[in-house]
Amino acid sequence: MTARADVRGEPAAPPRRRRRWVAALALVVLVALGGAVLAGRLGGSEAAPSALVGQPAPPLQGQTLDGGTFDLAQWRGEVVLVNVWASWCAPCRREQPLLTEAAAALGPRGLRIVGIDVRDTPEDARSFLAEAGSAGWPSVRDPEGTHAVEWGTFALPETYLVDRDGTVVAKAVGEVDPRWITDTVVPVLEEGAP
Amino acid sequence: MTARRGAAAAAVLGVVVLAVLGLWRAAGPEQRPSLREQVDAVAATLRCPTCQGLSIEDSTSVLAGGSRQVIEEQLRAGRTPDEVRQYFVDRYGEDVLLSPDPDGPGLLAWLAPALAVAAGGGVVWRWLRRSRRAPAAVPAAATDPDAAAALAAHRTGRLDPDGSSAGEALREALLVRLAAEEDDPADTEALTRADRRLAAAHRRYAARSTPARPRPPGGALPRRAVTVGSAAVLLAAAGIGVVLTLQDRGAEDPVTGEAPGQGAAQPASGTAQLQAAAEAHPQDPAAWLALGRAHDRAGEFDDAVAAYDRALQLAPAADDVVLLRANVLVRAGRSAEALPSLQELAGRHPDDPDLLLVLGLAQYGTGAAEATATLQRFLDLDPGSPAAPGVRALLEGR
Repeated sequence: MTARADVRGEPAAPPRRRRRWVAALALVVLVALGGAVLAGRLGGSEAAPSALVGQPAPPLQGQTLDGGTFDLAQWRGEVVLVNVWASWCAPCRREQPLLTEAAAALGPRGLRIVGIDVRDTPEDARSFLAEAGSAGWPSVRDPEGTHAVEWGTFALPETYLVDRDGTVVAKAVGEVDPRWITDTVVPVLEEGAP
Repeated sequence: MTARRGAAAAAVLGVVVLAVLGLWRAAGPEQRPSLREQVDAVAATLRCPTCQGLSIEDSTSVLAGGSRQVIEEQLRAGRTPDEVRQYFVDRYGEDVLLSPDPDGPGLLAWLAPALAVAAGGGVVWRWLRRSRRAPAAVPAAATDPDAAAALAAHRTGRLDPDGSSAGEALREALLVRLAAEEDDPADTEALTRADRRLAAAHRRYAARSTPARPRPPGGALPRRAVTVGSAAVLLAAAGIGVVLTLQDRGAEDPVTGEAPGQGAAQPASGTAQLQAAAEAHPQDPAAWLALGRAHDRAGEFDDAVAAYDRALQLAPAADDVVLLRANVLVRAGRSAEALPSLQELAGRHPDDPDLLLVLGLAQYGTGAAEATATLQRFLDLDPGSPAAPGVRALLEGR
């Protein structure tokens, strides 16, 4: 029964502590949300390679390397591979044989190929074709790179698959590989085969 | 003070005006920029397709040139910058925009800095306000004018806290404050402590929102409400004075504690209020205890015993009160009545010096032979007690 300090524990203490908890929780949620959004934005480009897939193909009209003119609209009703390339692009050189092979094998079944030759000189381009195998398809000259931008090209090479309705249905980033041809191009060819 | 505030307001106003003007100039229609400037402006907002993180304007890469060309062609064709940006979004996706689109989740990226600034400002404002108020608040806490007013109202019977927990805490604090004044008006430390507690209780009472909570009948005494233990020592010391006076021995010797007659000579100013408080809350043992202590201090032994009895009826297990009651009986010369309860307490608290002191005095008062042994044990256990010199005098004189 000794003297006791006349101090009473403050029963009103909890609210402030609770408020601090709420603030901490809000901060954590905000940081997590921000992280999720950022992660979504950074990872987004991998998940959806092109905003153009599923959309009508952009127009492609212009001078070709061999001096003629080309208009994609005239190929409506055909399955078209649009290949963006340049003579200064090493992977483009490597994929050239495969494209040639595809043209030979699938051409009779209705596959057409057109190139977009980006920021190239006609001389360089022609010597490239002479070395890598002369393509049996036209290439539209794109000295400023505006056609490539029109198609939403990030880097060379890129290849777009346009179906018979004129819709972009697929895009290959980098070198085309045989698997993409058999798994993606061939089914589209078979879809509306006459 | 007002001049400084005016200057601060003018400064804030100036900053706001400057900011608005700057925003207006930045967002408002430009004075017909050249096409090149327009292209630069749009290019600066678009990510270069082939290079990470650079804008089309900053990049010298192959497709960045094509992108600039496309922007220029489209602006020349009369498209707005937003339409041009949309053209790129349609081909390259949302990511081509260097600044996130304010629609959808991108809104968070726009709002986050504003929210952070607002939150930070709020924190700083609160901190500044608290730090400015804090130095004034600490000393003021003891003599909170609101609490002082509440105390005055309570004295005149105009304040009767309700039955909520905050109300009970306030009533307790009021009783403690009155008791502190009653105990020793010169003990400024105790008064300050009581004032501070009263201020805190009053703030809580003023801000209370909880409904009244019925008090459990016969609840334990609020043990911290009064410093019963220290009071027991002081009262016991006074009791020695009584015994010495009764024995008519050593009256000129200085005795610890106060002279017995002194308390009676000063009628307690707070007794009437405490009486009113206890009658207003007859179920509150703390009120009766406070009243009993006031009577005790005033030397009104019979009234004190009656008040302690009321407190004990409400909370029979309060040993502190039993001891106080016994002490009053001893001082009133009714040691025989005090003995049974003291012996019962001693059975449960054999080594409590306060208890031994009162028991020893009761035994002394009844002429029991054990008195010497009991008081000696008290001296052994608590030689530094304020009552010790008086007890030694008593034992030597025996």
